[in-house]
Amino acid sequence: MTAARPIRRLLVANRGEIAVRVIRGCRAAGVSPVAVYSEADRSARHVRLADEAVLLGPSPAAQSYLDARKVLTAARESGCDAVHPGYGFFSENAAFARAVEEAGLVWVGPPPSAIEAMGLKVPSRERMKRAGVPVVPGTQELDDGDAARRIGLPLVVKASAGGGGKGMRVVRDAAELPDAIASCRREAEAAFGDGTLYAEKYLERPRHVEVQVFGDRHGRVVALGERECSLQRRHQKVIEECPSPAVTPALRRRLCEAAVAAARAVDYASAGTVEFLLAHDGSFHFLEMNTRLQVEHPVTEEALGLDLVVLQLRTAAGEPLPSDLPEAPSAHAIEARVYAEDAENGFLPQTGRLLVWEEPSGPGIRVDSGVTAGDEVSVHYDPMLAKVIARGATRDEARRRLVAALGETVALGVTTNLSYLRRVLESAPVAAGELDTSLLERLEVPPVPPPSEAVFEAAGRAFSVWGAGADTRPASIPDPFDAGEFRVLR
Amino acid sequence: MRLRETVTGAVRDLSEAGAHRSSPPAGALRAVRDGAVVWVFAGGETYRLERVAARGAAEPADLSHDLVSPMPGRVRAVLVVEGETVAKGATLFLLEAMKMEHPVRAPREGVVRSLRVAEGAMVSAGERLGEME
Repeated sequence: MTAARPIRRLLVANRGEIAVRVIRGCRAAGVSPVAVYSEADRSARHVRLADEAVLLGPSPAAQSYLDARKVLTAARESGCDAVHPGYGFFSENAAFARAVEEAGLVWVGPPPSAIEAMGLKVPSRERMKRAGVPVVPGTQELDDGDAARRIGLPLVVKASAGGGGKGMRVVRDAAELPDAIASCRREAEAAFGDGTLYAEKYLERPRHVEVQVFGDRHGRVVALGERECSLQRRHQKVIEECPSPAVTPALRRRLCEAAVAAARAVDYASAGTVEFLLAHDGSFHFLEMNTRLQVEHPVTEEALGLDLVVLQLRTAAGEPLPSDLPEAPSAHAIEARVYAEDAENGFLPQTGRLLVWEEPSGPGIRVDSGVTAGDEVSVHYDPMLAKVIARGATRDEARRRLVAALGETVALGVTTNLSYLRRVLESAPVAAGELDTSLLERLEVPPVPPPSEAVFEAAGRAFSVWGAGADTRPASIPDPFDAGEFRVLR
Repeated sequence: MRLRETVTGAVRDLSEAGAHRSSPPAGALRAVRDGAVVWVFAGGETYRLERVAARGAAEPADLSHDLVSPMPGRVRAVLVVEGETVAKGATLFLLEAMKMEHPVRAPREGVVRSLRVAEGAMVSAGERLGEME
């Protein structure tokens, strides 16, 4: 039992959309938010929304947002009694969480011991097994030739020290197993200097389904429904939704029970996410636990009608979780991540000045964004500009609202994936909810429609507005409110 | 005026009359100029247009000797030395931006004539990293 300790003033140790999100949660909870910023973020949205803002240092994160000493000094000197890490940066750094607590401040996050327990993949997997949470069946005993029978086919032979697809062999026929073990061991020894192998069941085209868990400081842990995040590129989530189109009420109960058992095993508190791979037959396996507020938390908030940041602040202050929390969604919500990247060119990250930025609105539409027009999108930070979230009574209503909202979003000056997101959401498998973690890699989205004559004419006029000297104007960035911007109406 | 739309690669020759036409075209558009580029938002799509040399005009200088950075970022590694002979497709530089690594490869077989950046340098998109013979 922890004594209640009200939070009056909170340092938001992050930037971009999540800093804005935490500041909004502070407002709802009656807490005064203090922002931190780097030189690149002097006029950033999160700085403007906070009650006070503290400059940390130069633009590279290592010299600003990731400098623990500077962040702690900022918290102390601005009179804060708590720190919220957002996601990324310090959010899963147990040493920083401890330093916050040792400085006499409230850490708005899980206990440092829980962060540590889930930080290492092999020990956390063992811990989950002991807690009765299903993990992908596997074995380290490969040499008795019995592995195939014990695990079942297909299986995958993996290098213990491997990663990123290196040192992996998928085996579909027991006769291939000895060759796969030998070649995998050679590759593992050459690549990692460690030939230790293990085998686990190979899941064909699984779904990524995760459960939002929440704990208070009085030992109560609840599950707040699931999210499906199967639409990923290179392990980076692109589109997420709540509920999962594949999860029935019975499966939801089993997933939530397993997630609560996982969280209880590490004495979890605050918001966390237990990730599972869901197979076609409805079986699911523990993947990992993220000991932070996730990027995709808004779909849970919209589908269940919650404010997870407010819950984090209340429970961090020692309040118990409300007794009437919903367990299942009452609406459907889908989120699309708007990235500064070139979807037509290998998804390369893009930089530049955001000359025009207009956010969508309307029934069921929510935008969590960290940018405003005139902002410079730089190489220093994550290229995610905003999240557009749509809620609907049904999945299809949410999906159609999201497509329309993305089509209303105007981002000029920096190439974004807005068009790609719309084309993905309109594709047949996504519309049907037939998702898996490799769908985006094989999905053939239709091309960008060719520009109309009107587009060329508008561009021609924009080039002509500057007169004869136009071509000699430097390619520098004009002021976003310069006369160069204009609207062409019917 | 000849314009090229860089997302789709579409090219159109506009008469000067078209470019200066005073009656606006159908449909609500949004256009903003950024130096040598005009961005146009139309029907939910975003287009990026630049002026290109008109048909029959002199082609721009051949830049094929240049090794150019495809994106802004930091030079994480320079994997060749000046005078080195490289095969087509060999990785010459590794660039890093926003947690992504991107290789710059040799466009053809040849000798690296010069290098213009060192490891750790910040480069902008289109910046010359070096030249090949």
